[in-house]
Amino acid sequence: MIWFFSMLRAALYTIFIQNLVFNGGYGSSEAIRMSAKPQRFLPFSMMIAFFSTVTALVCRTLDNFKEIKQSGSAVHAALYCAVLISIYLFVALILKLVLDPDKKFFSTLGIAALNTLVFAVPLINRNAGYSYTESIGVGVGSGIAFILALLLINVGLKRLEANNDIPPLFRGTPAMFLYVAMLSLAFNGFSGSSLFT
Amino acid sequence: MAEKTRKSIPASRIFLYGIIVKNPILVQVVGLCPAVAASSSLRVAALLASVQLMIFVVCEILASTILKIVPRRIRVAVYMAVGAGITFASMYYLEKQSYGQDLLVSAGIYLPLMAANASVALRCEKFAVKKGLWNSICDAFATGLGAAIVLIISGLIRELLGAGTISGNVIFSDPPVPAMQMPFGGFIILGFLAAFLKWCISIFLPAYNHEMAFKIKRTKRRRAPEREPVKETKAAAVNNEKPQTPPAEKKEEGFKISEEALRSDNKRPERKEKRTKPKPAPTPKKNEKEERKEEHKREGFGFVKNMSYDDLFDDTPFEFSLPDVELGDMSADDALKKIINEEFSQDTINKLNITGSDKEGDKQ
Repeated sequence: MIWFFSMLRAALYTIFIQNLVFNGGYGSSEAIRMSAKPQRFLPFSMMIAFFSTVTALVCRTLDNFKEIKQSGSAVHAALYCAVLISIYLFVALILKLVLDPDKKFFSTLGIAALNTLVFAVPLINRNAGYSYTESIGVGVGSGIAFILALLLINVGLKRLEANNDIPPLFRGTPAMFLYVAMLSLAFNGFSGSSLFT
Repeated sequence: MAEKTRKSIPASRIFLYGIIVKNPILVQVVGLCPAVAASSSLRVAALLASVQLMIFVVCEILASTILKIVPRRIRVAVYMAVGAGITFASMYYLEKQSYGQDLLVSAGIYLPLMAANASVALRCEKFAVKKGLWNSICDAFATGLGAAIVLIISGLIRELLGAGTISGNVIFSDPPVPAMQMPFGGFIILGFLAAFLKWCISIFLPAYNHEMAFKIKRTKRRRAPEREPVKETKAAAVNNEKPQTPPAEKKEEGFKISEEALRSDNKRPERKEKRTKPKPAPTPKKNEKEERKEEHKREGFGFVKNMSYDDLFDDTPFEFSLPDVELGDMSADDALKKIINEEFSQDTINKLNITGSDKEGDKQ
């Protein structure tokens, strides 16, 4: 049972205390653009959770090797990047052979797999020294954190759209940036940060 | 495709679009991670900007030369691999330098994350793969510079307000707003920069106002306008005519307004009007909320509809196609005068596909 709670703690920490999108800015462009597409929230977030969990697990396994453990941060990052690309190509190949989906699906798959959010997960795990179970928790949590970010931004977009009081220069992208800034500030509050001290 | 590849775009136009009109961060909203999180100081921002510029140049050169024959799903991985190669080479170089250690620590994990930057894949897929080498190199420098300028301005302001320093030199002993070092500060700065860019374009480059995508497109699909396909199709079949298709939705708002003005001024023959535009069914009275929504859409505030997520790769400024204008019996000269009166630039007019015939009957 301890492993389960360890995983849950890491996941909750990733979702609320250190929301990867709002507190770290990882995958923020994907989140903002994707937030306009509610029907794809779940599949896209599931893809992100899948890729981040698998990448985190493989990278955590590689870190057990002595030679890799002793290498510098550049080598680690290069190795993690190679792992992520390999996993993406492997999944794409399997899907192509088994399901043969259309081009749009592969485009979505590429964006879901090769983004800063997924790539950041193994790097964060290494810096924090997470165990296997915690790595899985962070991987799954990153997917849930992403969908939470999508929901919050989506709600904001609707309200911004209906708001007539926004000055014309700030309508559209500027207002959206400011709204996401407010969300980011709120999530930073969860982690104990303050504005002026 | 082959024609597209051969078609060359003036370098000045590519730079104007890459740096200002279609700035990757402020307008296309891609590659935000380094801008909002990593660029908390001027030196780190300059480091990230230079690495990103290098990735842009190498990836776009490869995409425009040897990657055209590779399937798209593999190309995306190649961009990341190339980005990783450049990023990790620069990390390795900095690790060996005495001054580089501090920079690496300050940049944290954001420097390796440059390998997964979405803006590189976007520009390569939407531009470099379809254009020639010279255009791709220009685009790489333009887009890279556009992103670099935003990163550096953001880094400068955030370091000044968040740490009270500029490139390590103390300006304020007590930093005014320490929270500016957090991603919150990055988003705030980007919001104000985007508004400033919008203002600059509306003042200095009004002709490009309608081409700016200061909106995030929403996905709610509109229902296709109802029509009576059976009767029309049968009638068309008898006359050996092609069946009428519903008018395409106009994308460029600025142009839509001008087109309406153009139509209202022009006396068009009724017969032609009936053929090209089937009369829409009378709509019931809208309530206040719906009217407000319509107003937002007209003003360009409404987040644009009908955009798939695939449009992450669909924001290239060079792919813009303005809707065809049917001028009826109006002469081409009159049409051009009308368009000029609507304050459109020559550049915009050149892009219009004008169909119709002038008074002498020559097709334009």
